[in-house]
Amino acid sequence: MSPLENALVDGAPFTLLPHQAAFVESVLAATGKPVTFLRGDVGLGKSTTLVAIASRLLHEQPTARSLFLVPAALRLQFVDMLRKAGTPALLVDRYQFREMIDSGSDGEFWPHGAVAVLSGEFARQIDILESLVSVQWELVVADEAHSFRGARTDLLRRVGAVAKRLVLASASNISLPDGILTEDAAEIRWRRDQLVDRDGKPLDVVPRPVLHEVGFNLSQAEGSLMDAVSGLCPILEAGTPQQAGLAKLLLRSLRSSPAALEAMLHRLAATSDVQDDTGEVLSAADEEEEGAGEGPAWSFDRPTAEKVGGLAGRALQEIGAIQVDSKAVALGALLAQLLEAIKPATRICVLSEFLATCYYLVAEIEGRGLACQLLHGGMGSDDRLRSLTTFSATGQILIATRAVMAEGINLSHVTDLVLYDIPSTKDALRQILGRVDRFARQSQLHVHALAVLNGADALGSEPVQLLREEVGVRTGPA
Amino acid sequence: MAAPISSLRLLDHSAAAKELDLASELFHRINRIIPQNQVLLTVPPSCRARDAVALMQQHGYSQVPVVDNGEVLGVFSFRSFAGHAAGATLDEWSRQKCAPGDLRVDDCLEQFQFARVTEEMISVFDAMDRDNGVLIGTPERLVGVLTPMDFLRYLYQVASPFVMVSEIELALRALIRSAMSQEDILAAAKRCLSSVYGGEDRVPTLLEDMSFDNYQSLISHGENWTHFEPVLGSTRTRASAKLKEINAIRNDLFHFRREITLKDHQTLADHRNWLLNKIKQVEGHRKGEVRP
Repeated sequence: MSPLENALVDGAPFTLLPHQAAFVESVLAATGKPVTFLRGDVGLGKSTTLVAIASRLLHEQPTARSLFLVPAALRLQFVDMLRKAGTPALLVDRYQFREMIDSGSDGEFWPHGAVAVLSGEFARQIDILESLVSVQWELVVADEAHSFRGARTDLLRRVGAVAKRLVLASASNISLPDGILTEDAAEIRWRRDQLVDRDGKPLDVVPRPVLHEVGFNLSQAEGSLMDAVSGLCPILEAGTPQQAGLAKLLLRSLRSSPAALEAMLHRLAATSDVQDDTGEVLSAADEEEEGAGEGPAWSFDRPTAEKVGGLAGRALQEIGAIQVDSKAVALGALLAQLLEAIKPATRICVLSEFLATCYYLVAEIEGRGLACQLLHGGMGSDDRLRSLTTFSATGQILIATRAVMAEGINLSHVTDLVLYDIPSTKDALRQILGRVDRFARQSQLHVHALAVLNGADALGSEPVQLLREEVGVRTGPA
Repeated sequence: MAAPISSLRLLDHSAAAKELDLASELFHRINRIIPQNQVLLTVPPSCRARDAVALMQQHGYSQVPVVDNGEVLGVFSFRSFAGHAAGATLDEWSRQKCAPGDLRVDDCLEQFQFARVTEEMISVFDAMDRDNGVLIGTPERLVGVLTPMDFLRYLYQVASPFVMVSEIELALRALIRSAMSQEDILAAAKRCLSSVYGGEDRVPTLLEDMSFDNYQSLISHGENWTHFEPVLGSTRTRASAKLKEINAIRNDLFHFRREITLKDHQTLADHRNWLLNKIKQVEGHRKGEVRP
């Protein structure tokens, strides 16, 4: 065991695999390049490795300053991992920053001997960025570095300029920020099929996941609802960029469940009820998407608000006319089939993009006399742990939001992953698969995707094609 | 000066650390009241009053700190400007050959009290009442500006989920009563709550004695749904899903498990409005029935 691994094993919940240990050594080597770009699929242990680098650095240089720039959803996870590794860590948000200003002096409030963990979005705010670049950092780590695009590239460039070591980690290809010379950077790529365990044996021995497309037909009433919602979208698309975004969200909620759609339609319908004193704008709803956070508010002028409200009201009536949800019925049939041959190892994870859909599915599944656990980003840490522990111990069904899958949880024991809503981007799909199809898997993963057989969203749609490319094809249920 | 390492290391002693870390979240101190996305706007002392007023209007602010070389000299506000503008006669303005808008902001300063982010909110009540605002930080290091509206928004944000949950709970009781007679309620409660309470005899007989969980079970139970379908509409699964979502937020709220997010707030408001509509429909039917 290397000195690094010894140091980390002491009180830490993890040990490093050879590829992780080698990366840590490479970043911290005195002769190493100042910028290291780590590219590796989700689920190969990048986060653990980044924590190990900071732990080792602070072990060797107890007064070093270290900065982690991570996605907002991962801040707590990184702080927790660092602390479990015995490394002081401080989550810095606006409130913490104000208290640091209040207690510090001469701008010297960024802590020595600890890792400051900030979201990229927060770090790029002008006053925060100016403060970050006013000190020298021994180590700056940017996780999910591919998300530092556009205005955020400037953050990496400026913070990188005051960092002795800059580590960029990503599952995707990225280009180096302006100002960072290629000769100053080293790229290390982790390929799943090349990684070995501590005994030198290949780690990737489980067959690749297999895809099962679960088709279902929309009823006439569901078709009418689709038409009603489709009538709303062009009005929204013709408006501001936010309203165009709202149209996309509306379509996604339509494809997800009546519960997700109903919540959005109610807010749109309410826009025409609001009395507007100024006669100029009426505010609509915030983004519904789970994990979207505090999204922008949409505004409509009076005539548009009335039109949108009227169409939303009509669509709500169409929802009321739907007594059977074909997609939920298809899920019920799939679950019955999966649970028919009861195997102790069976662990089914059903994923949706919308929290309202998750609650809807919980009600639907419990209504069928089955037990299930719920997991979403809004849950407190104790409730999350309880859900995951129960699911792990008793098995069967976990209903989870897609957003919570971006929060570093390990679901390698899931045997069947059900995509109730199919992600529309490659990154989102990889993020999900990385939580489930990762090291420690004991068996092949079965991915089931609910897909419409009739209408405009039929099986040939873009998300289904993307899924086929990423996972592979096998038509028909498991 | 760097933060002492020893105090930072204390943050790592798990349970105790979590509480210490959360101190500013657990207590309603000034730091929580300053809007998280507040953009601090300042003007130099040489700024003309008309430019400062335009800037304030553009940002929707009613005062702006005047800062010179990083140090706060005072505050320029609509009030301080009005006081100076109204204090001179037309003759005096003519003699000076200027209009009120030509004044420099440092000619119209007023002094606000400073407070620290870690202070209790009550400590600035008097200053807020007197000046209509408080500066947060120190003259050399301004952190933010706190106004009465910030207080109002914060207190509304803290209180409104509790108010909405009470409205939801009372509305549910009223809807259950409108859907079922007292005898039906009792029979339904025995049917679906006996196992929870350990026997029919132990099941509460009054809605007021039941929990939100009990209401949810009562409404969602397959055999009871026929009573509720005309009142709640939609399908049992959809109604049940809404009640489950409310119940989860309610439990987190009342047991102080986590901070209620904007999304939770929106969800509560949506479901509250759903029930309000149902109550209105029930009321409408009743009025229709008694109309001659």
